Amino acid sequence: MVEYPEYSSEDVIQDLSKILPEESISKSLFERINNAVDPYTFASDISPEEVPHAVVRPGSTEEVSDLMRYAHSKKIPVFVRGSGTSLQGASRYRHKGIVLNVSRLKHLNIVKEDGFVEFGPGHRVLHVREELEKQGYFLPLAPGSIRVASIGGIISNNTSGHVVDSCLGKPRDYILGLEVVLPTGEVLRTGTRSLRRPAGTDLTHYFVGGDGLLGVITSIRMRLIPEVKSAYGVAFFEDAVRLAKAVQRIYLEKAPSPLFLEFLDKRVAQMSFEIQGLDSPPGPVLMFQAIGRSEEEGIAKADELVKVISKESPIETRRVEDIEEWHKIWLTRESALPYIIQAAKGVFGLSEIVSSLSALVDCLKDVMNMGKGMPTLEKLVEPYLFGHIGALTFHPVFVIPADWPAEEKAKAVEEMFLKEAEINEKYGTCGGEWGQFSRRTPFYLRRYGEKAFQLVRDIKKIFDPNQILNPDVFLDH
Amino acid sequence: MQAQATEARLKEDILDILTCCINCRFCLPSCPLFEITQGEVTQGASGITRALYYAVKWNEIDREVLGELRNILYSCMTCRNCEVACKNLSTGTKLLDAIEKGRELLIEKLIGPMPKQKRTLESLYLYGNPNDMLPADRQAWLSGLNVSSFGPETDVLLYVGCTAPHDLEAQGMAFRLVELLKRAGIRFGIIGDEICCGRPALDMGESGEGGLFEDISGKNIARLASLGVKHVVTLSPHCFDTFRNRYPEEKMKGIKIQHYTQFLSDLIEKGQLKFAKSIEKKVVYHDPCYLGRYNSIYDEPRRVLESIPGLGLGEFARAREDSLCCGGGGGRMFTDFEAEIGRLGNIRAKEALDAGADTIVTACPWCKINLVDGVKIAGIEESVSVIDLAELCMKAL
Repeated sequence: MVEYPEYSSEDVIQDLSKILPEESISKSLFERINNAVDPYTFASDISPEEVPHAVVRPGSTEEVSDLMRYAHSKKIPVFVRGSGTSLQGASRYRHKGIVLNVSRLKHLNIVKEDGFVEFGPGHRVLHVREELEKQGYFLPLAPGSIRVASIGGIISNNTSGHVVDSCLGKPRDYILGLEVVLPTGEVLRTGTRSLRRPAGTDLTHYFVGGDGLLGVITSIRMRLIPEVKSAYGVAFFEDAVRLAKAVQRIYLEKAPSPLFLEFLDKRVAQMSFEIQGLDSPPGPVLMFQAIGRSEEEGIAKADELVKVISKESPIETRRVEDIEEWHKIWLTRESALPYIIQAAKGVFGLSEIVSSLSALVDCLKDVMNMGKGMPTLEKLVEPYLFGHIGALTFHPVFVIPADWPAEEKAKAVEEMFLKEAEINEKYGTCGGEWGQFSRRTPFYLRRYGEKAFQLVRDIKKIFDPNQILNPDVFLDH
Repeated sequence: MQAQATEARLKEDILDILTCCINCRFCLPSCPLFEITQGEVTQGASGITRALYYAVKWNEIDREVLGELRNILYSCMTCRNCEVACKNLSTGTKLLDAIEKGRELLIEKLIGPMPKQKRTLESLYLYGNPNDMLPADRQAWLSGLNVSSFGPETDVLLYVGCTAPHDLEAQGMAFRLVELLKRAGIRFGIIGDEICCGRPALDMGESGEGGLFEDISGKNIARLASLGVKHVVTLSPHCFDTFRNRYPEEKMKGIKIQHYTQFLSDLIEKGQLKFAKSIEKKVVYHDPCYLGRYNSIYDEPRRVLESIPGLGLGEFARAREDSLCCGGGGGRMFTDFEAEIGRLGNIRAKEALDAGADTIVTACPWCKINLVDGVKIAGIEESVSVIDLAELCMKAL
């Protein structure tokens, strides 16, 4: 474990005041606390000793560079933070240090003539989407936390959220270049200003999906994608196995990949449909959004998907033509988690399990039974289940009674992550949304081996010789 | 001893409520404070309540730190946008209940309210209104409305509230509503020495047992009972919500509480109020928080507007449950906050322009004051005007 010198917060703030403008430093105790806490399931209360020295909200790349130079020279840990929405600890503050909040890095230029958009990491994803839509463009990112998650974190994590990978790919497929401040303070500009992306070594890819280990992204250049037209569909099944087979069939029969292909198990579907004032479905539900350059193309793809899905004998499958009805159906999925938590009156443990295509049915059964044989999970009701099944992803949700002692709750969450690792390893997969380290470091080691893990650590040391940027993200392994 | 017990109870309640919050931050983008500050986490929704949570959990006693907490906690405009977001997207935590209890705790600790609000509470205590208005002056103003006192010959009590007697912008609302009710043939009266409903006391943390709110509400309940009032119509959504949701239910049993927009909508439906004149305006209706998000009253004011001939009713991009607060709730009409760099009234005024409207209609005295200021400060007075629903209705008679 790396040792860091101890400093008083007063001294650090005094030093920072000499190199940064006043408006870039938040000294308030409560602001510092707020920038050090994470959302559940990783949330544990911090202690007064853990409060960051300061929260720095730089207004420019130069300020980021000045901060990193200072922190590097003094060997003070720096935690980069956007909205702090990571569900498995990627943005977690762990060690007395400085929080670098990117919320003021908010430039946004749509450069139509060059076919790209450049933006800062501090924007909320939804804001970037809205700005692009105003100009007739489409953002290929759709995390569940789109309203609040900041786009820098999404890029660092290389996640496109709900999106089916085979339809649009990952952010990495659209990023043309980055501006990055290294942990030592130097500024790096990677990639290209052309739509022709570099062949061969491109440092862009070290940072997109780099888990925030190697540098602070201060600007992102992304290819513009023309707006798309959508068509929608829904399918109701007797049982989840049939539903999973329908998803496999979509791939096997080379049907068009939908943008979203989402699944709700029977319990979740019935609860959510009722809240939305829709007829209660008799079993699990599949819903999808197909996209095309024109409305006709979207509809044709949706019709083809309906045709393929119908081969697995659903109770009903159809294209949804009434947009109001689609909004309600989509809300049953978007709001599934709050509906579950609020109905069950407990806290939740959310997991991310990914299957291979051929094992989808077996994986689904494993997920349904994932509490079995685990001493704490077994005491809970079976997990509620939903997920991006088109992206071969399940999100089982365990509801943990609010009145359980904290240690018991922690045990349940630990067992859940253990089981998640076991199933992902069994099918030779890994998570597709939440990043590779933090809570998942033990899984990374198990899944890819000691050598791969050591290489990652060695790479970090080259970029960050003093190990100050987001330290302990490997959880001391 | 009693003070310690109260503090302990408040702390327990606060932790109890906020344990449900999972720090998902889904509420932050919904918080209007975020739009007028530098965007620090403590300048919005769960950032505010997380600050409170840790101050309580760590038994914070440093007065400077508690002063910092006070500035954070009292900046909330209680618009309820955060709770809507939390209900739709997360755990359904009652963030505003925690904020109210936090303010009560700071009152107990003699840290709250904000310095300027102290005078508001004194005024409430001394004069029965938050505006330092002598009771005699208020009575004189009320007598200028030329409405008889509520009594056996009247069916409806018009509760005017504290803002109209005090503020020029709100005065017209009261006069026009009175005229409207007279023209509709309503048998209504007022209380000549009316006192505040108590909302500002609630907003500033004087909400506890034996506190100022209990004192004021007790006086009003006794007055309503002694006069035999069965139907109250209020000018302000804040008074409406206070009577409807914050006065003890058992004490208000048998008394119908309405905001005037509901009452006008009923009159139109029954044919007692008809508009003859055409008004060629493009209007947008600004949903006051305490009518909309607090009481789900969205349709009635729009029904009134739809019944006015010639009127073009559009919508703000953020309307109904998404309506942007004017910034006046939660006691903010009585103080300022240094951390704020913008004003919601200005933002809202520009949004009206974006919606293609030439007129903003609202139904709350505080919203009206803030929006009139907003239009002026945004420099769009020539393009957009602000009018209250009652005033607009009078023009159409």
